[in-house]
Amino acid sequence: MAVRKLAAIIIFALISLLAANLAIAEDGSDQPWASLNDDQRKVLAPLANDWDALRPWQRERMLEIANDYPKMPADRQERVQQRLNSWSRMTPFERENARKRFQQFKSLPPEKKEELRKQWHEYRQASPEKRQELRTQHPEIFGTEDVER
Amino acid sequence: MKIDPENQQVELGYQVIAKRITSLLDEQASNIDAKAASKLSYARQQALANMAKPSSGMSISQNGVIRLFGNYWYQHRLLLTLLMCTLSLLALLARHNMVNQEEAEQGDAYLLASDFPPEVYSNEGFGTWLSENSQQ
Amino acid sequence: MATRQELSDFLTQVERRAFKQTAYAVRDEHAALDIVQDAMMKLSVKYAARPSSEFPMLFQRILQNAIRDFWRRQKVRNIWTSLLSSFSITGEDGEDSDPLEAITSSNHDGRNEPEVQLEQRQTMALIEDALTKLPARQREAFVMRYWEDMDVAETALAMGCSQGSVKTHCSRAVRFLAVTLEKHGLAEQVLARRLSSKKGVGDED
Repeated sequence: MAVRKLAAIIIFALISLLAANLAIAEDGSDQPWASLNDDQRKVLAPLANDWDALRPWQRERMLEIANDYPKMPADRQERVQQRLNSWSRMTPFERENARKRFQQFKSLPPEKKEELRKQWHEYRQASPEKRQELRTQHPEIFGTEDVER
Repeated sequence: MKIDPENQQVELGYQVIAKRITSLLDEQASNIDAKAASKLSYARQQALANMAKPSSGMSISQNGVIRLFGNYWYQHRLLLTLLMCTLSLLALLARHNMVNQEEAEQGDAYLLASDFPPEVYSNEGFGTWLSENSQQ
Repeated sequence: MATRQELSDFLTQVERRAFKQTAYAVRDEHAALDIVQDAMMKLSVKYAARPSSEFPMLFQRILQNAIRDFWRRQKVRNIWTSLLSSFSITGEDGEDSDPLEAITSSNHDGRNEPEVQLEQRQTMALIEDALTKLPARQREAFVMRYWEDMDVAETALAMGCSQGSVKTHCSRAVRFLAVTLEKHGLAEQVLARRLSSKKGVGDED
């Protein structure tokens, strides 16, 4: 039947379209670890082993980080270095959520931001037992595990 | 196999009755009322008119209402479903691409360089805290 | 590939029988007309490319499917009706009434109907009533084998069952009809009737 034939053609077209889309994505931003320059590789060192497994758009984001990094003061650079590992180990879903909440935080009224910063300062100064207590009281702020900064 | 003559006789008798019954039914069928007969005749004409024109898309129902393309879409509903799926998939892909581009403009470096580790932002409960505190 | 003439001929000779057969099955002449009209259209639109020798089987299959659909819709409707009727005071009139009773009491104009004619009407009413009462499969098999003169293989195809089942359904149907006629003393009347020249004389295999 003509309809069946047409249906088969459409299915085939769909599959090729999907394949093509994936293929294009691969070729367009194919940046193997070897193609990065020294500065980039220095910043993204923690990701060296996982680099090839990252999806193209994930690599692009990481490269963005590497690009922004030189513009930052030293202490911030240090933070980026320290946190890059755990960042790369998160799922894309978690990272998306993190980005959203980061924006939400930025739009908080100044006193709220200050309040949160104070709480974290307190946390960092506290003993392990005290930190455990704080985590139990406010898991929404301090999480459920001790985070090494 | 035993041949049961009496049973056979009965069976034959039944066969005869069956044929006689159906000949009576035939008579009955040939005497249906004129209105029904004319409707059947009309239906036959309609059916013949639609012969060899399977997907013209036009059909005239009994009420004389022309169902333009109604039948056509029903017949090709498989095709239509596939078309819809293709379009939705394309839309999804396009949106995904666009979202990717959008996100690439925001720097993750600033998130990582901020006051708190990324675990804070990825914390589900933090989202709740944020909603509560942004309203006050 | 069937010609227009072949389709026309087929429909012309089958349409009235199909109407009656469907009416017995759905107990509603109005619905029966609709079903037959649809069936004709379906045959023409979907199966015009088949050889005309397949028309009897195809048409019967279309009809039976349509009848089945009708009853499926009725079932849904009946759920609502029975729900509603449980609130109403009027009783149900689903009692089995003697079909002959209806016939004998229908002498409208008061004239005495000739005995023969009355008996014929009674017989017809009884047969039709019995047909309506048959289980669907038995009625289908009976109609196709004896009224439509389809062979066992065709009937099996149209009914979507085995040839053995066809034979079983057939014999049960005929038995029921024969017994019904005998019960009302009309078997002889039917047997005495001369066969019309259209049908083949003699018994079926």
